[in-house]
Amino acid sequence: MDPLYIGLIAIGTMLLLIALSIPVAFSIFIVAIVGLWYLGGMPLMLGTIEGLPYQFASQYGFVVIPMFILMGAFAEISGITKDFYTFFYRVLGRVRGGLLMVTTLSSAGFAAISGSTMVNAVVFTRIALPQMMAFGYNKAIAAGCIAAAGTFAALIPPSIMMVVYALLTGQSIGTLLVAGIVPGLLTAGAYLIAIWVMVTIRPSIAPVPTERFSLQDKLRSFYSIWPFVLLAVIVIGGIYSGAMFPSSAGAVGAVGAFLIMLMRGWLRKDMPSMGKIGGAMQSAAMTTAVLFLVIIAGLMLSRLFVYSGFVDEIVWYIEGLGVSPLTVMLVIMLMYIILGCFMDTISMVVVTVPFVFPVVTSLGFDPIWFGVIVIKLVEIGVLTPPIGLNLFAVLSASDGRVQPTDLFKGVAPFLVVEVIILGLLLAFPAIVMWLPDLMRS
Amino acid sequence: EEYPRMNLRVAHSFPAGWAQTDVDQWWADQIRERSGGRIRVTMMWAGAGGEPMEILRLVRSGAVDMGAVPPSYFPNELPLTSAPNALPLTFESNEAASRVIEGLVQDVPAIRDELRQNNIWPLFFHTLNTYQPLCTKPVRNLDDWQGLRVRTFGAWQPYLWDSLGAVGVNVMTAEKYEGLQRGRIDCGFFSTDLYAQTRLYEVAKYLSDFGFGPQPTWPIWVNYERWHNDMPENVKALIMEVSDEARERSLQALADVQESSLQRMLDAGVEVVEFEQPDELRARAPDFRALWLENMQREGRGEAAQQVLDYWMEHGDI
Amino acid sequence: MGLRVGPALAGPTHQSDKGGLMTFVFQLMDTGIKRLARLFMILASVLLAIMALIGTADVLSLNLLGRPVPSATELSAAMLSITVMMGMSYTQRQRAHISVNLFWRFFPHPLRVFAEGLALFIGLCVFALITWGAWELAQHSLNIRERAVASVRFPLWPIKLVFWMGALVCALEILRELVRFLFCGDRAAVAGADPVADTGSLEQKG
Ligand code: NA
Ligand code: NA
Repeated sequence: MDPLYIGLIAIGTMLLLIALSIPVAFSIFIVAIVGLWYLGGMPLMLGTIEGLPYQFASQYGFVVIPMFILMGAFAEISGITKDFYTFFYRVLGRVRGGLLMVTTLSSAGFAAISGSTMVNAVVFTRIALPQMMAFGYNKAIAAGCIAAAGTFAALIPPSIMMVVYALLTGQSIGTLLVAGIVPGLLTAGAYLIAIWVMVTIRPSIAPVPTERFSLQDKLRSFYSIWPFVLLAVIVIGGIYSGAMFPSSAGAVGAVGAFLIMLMRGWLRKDMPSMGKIGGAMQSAAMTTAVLFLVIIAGLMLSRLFVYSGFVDEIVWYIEGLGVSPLTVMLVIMLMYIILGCFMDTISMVVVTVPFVFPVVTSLGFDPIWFGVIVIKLVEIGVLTPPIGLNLFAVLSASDGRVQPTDLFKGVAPFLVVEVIILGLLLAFPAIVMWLPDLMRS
Repeated sequence: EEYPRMNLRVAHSFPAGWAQTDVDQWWADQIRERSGGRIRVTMMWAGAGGEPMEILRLVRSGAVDMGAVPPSYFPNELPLTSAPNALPLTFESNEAASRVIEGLVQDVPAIRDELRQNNIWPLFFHTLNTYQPLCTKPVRNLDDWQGLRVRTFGAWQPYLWDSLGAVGVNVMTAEKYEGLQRGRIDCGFFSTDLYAQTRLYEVAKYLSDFGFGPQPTWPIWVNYERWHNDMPENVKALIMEVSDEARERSLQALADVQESSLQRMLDAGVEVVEFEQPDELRARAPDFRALWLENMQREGRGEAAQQVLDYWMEHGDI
Repeated sequence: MGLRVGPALAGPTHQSDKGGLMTFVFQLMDTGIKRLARLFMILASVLLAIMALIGTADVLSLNLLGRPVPSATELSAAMLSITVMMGMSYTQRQRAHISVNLFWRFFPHPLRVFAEGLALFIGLCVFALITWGAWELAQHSLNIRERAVASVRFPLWPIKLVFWMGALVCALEILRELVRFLFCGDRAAVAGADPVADTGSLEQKG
């Protein structure tokens, strides 16, 4: 059979199974297994199943993922994230739309210690949503802002997605992480502008609170953000000073978050219970299991694409189009946005990058720049229905206070911002490359 | 000559574009060309068809037709065949490395048994150019080695660093560059052509002239049973013919690339540092073959290891 | 009594079996697998903490003592594999695997029953195969007494055995859910259920 048909049938079947509410990892896995059997008989199918899951689950490069998840879990139960939010609230709360801006800034700050967009979305749904609703903010915009701002975690280092991309393409993790900083800050700035525009056009979505804070209150809450700053300094400072490899930053961050939690609990006589700590560890282990099953399934599928020749076929097809590199890039971006509607982030990257990457680099695009573009596209993917992990995260953490249709509406303005930013990065690659180039020279 | 139509898939550990992988691509193209296009060989580079640690199993079980992975990745499965690939300071020239590994496979029963038990068979081996430390500071004598952080790999290099008072640090491939740049490690441990490939010379400027010796590395592996029992004779003859040429090409390509990549590094401002105590270093480092034999004896494989060593000492150049 | 999709028979089958051998077997299976899944989950989270400690010790040792913890990276990597696999059964039990229930509310009843059964059947196929592969891997590793290729050559075969056990318990958990689904029509034991949708509707129609 033509490799193109094999690939398309595989994708179609997978989407059908996913639409039937079959768990995503199972849907991908079964398609990959059947496909490998079709291509290479029992030896290929069994040989792959025997080796691949263990090989990938035992890669040192992946250890950083559960470590960052664990760090985020400790940071959340210790309350240091909430302190950070309170500080910004006291400073900016009386600006119109201030809480939306606070959420944006806190999420960008939290992104400096969290590597997962879903973790960010869950954390701020728990912290910021109740406050914004209490102040009469528009529920849809509030929830949309939380979901969208959660995506900073993928762009501002550390970032799980970047590690995955670097490992798949053999790029330097450090360079990629540095490349994400400026685009991340740029996106945060653009969100602030968008919020300002929205509240100016429709002031009703964000009433100004009456509560006032003295300078003393503000200073006191500034003092309370030290644990958060300390953790960020340990992780980011550790990487940039040369004390540790990015791959070990997760482990140090997890232990650091744990110690800071104990220190803060002791100082404030507000120690989290053993049950709460155990629960956080357990939820980190569960998230790890969920993520790795999807990652392994995605790798099985990309193995199928390699063996079927689908990858080569697509590469030849795009190369044979004879269109300009820019057109190819636009086609690829469109492909990611469409795929992003249906696939979850990690499997999307894992499945597509191995065959898109050679095309892109052969056209002369910078692999680091493309890494940032992929992360950006993935961020858009977590925000688009029907399958958007950040949307799910907000929905599940809001305990039914937010309905899917509200959220889809509320996230739309931020999606527009994302597309504009994407255009800017495409038009001015220097936004991405400036910092890494500076580092290299 | 009439060849059957075949499509042979090769799961390769390494990316295209290295001196050796260029030869592997040439080898694939030649088989296709000389079979009149009837035998296609598809390379799946850089782990796309299987992670390095999976490849032995994939070839053994017939999941892929061929694979390319160094034997030293499998000391548990291939304790004998992996030794020349794993032990530093045991060869002077690429030719000797190639001669010894190919001869071991042809002439030493213990090696053949090991390969048959693992149901794999090598078509031709590549070699590696001598490994020379590339450091962020000059290393002139044994004192300079004290506390030096060197990228390490596998089970045998740690003995080397211990004997020199250096510190072996595990570094992921993707983190070597910044590891050198930020001072988490002081030295990379590669051949000049691999430094050129990974651009490590951008961040480390002192290349030691002391080489720890070339070594044999990955062959193209085929399934033992299939190769010896099921492969049509004319196909076998064709593949062996091309493999013999590829082996020679690989040696030539490595000699060429040694010069060109050294030149590239010099152009980029790399300084070649003379190591003043080469004999002292060799004296201080363990006798790796003796160490290996000791290990094998402890595991009750002393006789087989001795067979390998006897051949190696006779046909090698150190 | 044939093998028929559960919900249609839910009430009667369940009732008539009460106190019978079937129920006893189910209960034994339920509690046994539940405890194993729970135990493995606790072990997985403890392993996560240990990995964090090893990684931190490695960084501290390299910076303060000038040398890394021997084989720390290889050990962490090996531990990751069992952490991942040991968390699988509990994750399955908690319905934590990512699935998209967006269209669920539009499914007619027979389609829901079909989708639920299919989810379990596919899940079982997947984990049965993973378990088989892990067993082959563990057996081979045990036969050659496999050790890590690292400065400290710690044994790898126990890790591969635990990896296999993690997969096995998850396969058993899915099997348990499938059996309950087929014989008892037990909604609570079924994957793919939409937490948002009206869960009562299925029972009412059944
Ligand atoms: Na981040
Ligand atoms: Na989406």
